[in-house]
Amino acid sequence: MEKLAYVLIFVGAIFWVFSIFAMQGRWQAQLLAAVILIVGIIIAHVWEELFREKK
Amino acid sequence: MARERVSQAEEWQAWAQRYDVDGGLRTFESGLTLKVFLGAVFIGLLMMPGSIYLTLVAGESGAGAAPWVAVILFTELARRSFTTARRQELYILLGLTTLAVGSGTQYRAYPFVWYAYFINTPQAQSYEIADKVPYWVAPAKDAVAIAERSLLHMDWFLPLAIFLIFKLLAEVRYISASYFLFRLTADLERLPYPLAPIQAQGATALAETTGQGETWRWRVFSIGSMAGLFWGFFYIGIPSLTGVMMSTPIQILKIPFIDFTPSIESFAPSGMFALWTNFGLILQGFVLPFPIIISEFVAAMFTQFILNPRILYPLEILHQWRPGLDMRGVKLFNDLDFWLSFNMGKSFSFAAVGLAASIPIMLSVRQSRQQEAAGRGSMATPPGRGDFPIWLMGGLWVLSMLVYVWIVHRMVPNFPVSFLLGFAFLYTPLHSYINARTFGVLGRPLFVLPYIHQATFILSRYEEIDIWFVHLPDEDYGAGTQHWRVLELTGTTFRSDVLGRALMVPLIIVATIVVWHFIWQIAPIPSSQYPFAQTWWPLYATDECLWKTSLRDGNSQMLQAIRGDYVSAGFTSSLAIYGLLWMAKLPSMWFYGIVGGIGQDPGMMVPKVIGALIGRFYMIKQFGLKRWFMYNPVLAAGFICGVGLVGMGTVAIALVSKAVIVKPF
Repeated sequence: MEKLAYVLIFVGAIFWVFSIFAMQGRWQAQLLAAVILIVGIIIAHVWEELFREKK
Repeated sequence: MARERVSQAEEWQAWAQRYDVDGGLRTFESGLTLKVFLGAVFIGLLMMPGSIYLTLVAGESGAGAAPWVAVILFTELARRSFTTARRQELYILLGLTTLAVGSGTQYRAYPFVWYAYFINTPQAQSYEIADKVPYWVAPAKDAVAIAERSLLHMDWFLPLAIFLIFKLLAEVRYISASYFLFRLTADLERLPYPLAPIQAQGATALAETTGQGETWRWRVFSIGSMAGLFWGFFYIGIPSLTGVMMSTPIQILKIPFIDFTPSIESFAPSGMFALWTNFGLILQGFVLPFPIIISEFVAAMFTQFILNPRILYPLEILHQWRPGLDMRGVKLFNDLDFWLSFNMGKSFSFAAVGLAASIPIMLSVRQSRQQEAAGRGSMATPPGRGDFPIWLMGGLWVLSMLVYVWIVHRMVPNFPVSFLLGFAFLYTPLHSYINARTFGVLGRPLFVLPYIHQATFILSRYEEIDIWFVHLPDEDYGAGTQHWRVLELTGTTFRSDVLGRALMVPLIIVATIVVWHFIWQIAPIPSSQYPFAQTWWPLYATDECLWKTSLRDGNSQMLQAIRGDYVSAGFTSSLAIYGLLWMAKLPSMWFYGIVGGIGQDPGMMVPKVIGALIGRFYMIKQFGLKRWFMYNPVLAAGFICGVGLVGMGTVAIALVSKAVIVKPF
């Protein structure tokens, strides 16, 4: 789950940079990147709160 | 060595403990006693007419310091009566006198006299508004009540009745919604509310003076007060007093900032830098979390010295900038070109991140309940705090909001009710939740959607002017959440505070209306008796006419400035920053600092940065971390008290000077 969060956040961030430079910053593409990022961030917090082994 | 991951909730909890100067161990007591209530009523009703009068005469009410004066008076009375004043009592007294003294000093808050003046202005006539002011705002311009300058007249019955109902409903909404959000942000998310201890420690320090043994608090509070008196005299006193005697006041330090923007345009075109001279903010730098202040400053420097001049300006995104502009000009053009939209997007990211962090915490609480493990992120309340059932507060808010929307709908029946419901049940909760979180972390609101009313009126295609006189149900309860945190820090039961407000508010509303009536009876407002109103109210009237007619041609420069691609850029880039910080296992405070600082002027942060650096690299070494975090809110509270006292003193002198009439013989 942690790995999935890493991948989604990374892909979302890269896709946002791509949308700015290659797609003239169109808002639709940027919001798609935002959705990917939000899903990644939610998974990250779910993992932190519910599945992470705490010392 | 690999960095250990600390979850956001753990990080906030650690900071919250740092600000909890009593170590989280406290007993809760009621702060509302008969002597406190009578004291608040006496002092409030004694000072309130003066503060309204001062506002009309000098434009300064002195309401900021008055509650502190009341509390000091109260503690002195307690000492001389060989009794003690508890900190809970003093905090409730502080809250109730603030409520009473501040009431009515804004002409907008009790707008009867203002509208009585407005409908008879030449501006309202020429803009063809005078005859269109609704009957529930003010009586007709030729009404007897206006001619006789009386608020206690049947002509005012409907405006006053609607006003009274709205005020009481607003109080219910404010208390219930801010409590609900407090439970969410402070109990569940464990946000630290860094500025809450300042208010809490002021009352605590003064309470100790009435006890047997004075502790470090009174000493530290006194040091802060003396520093505040000196700084207040230097920064506020000298300009105010010389302004009374001379045509141009003497400002030793330019107020409010020294503008370096024209000086940096050669190497940073479209950048701005205005050094704020209110060095009282250094004390805020002592209190606020160090990582937030530093990352905010670095992000602001990056914006004004790299992002604006090296990227956005060459790409012609900032296309209105031209050489020779001062800070206000640069800010206006840059906001219209880009930052207004970007800042909207970034403030939405606070809500998204907050929800993303809260939902798993709620799930975790349910899981921990099943395991019968109490602790972090729990909705369980401390014993004796005087909490309310959360469903009751949520229900009260929904009910009072529905009644409010229904009344507004009856007042403007042709305005689409869907917009009212959207404001009430979508915009207000989102707006309030975001600002509750930013108060919990940064101690200030960050979410502001400019010109949302105008946008709504355009989208609704509603052309009647009466909608401009209605208070739309868009509200922000975010700031109110801090008050509950202060109550918790002072060990005051929530119920005693709510009861105090419930007793005080109706009294204040009626008293304020009566006071406005008597002040209006003395002389017409505005007139030479009220020089500040005489100077400014005509300008306010013009301003109001311009706003109320601004959308007649369906054109607004501000609305055209909001661009979807820039809003998306603000939203997505902020989320990306949050995600990347999480990947790097860096504290989430950096996110609030970086995103809060992007687009801002670094000059306004300099005093806070100085305070943060002094605190981190000198004070903590000198006093130790724990003791310094105990000292600095008390010091800041004393400072605010000292500055407030100087402000009140100078206003009093200004009042005397205005009262002196020079005879020509």
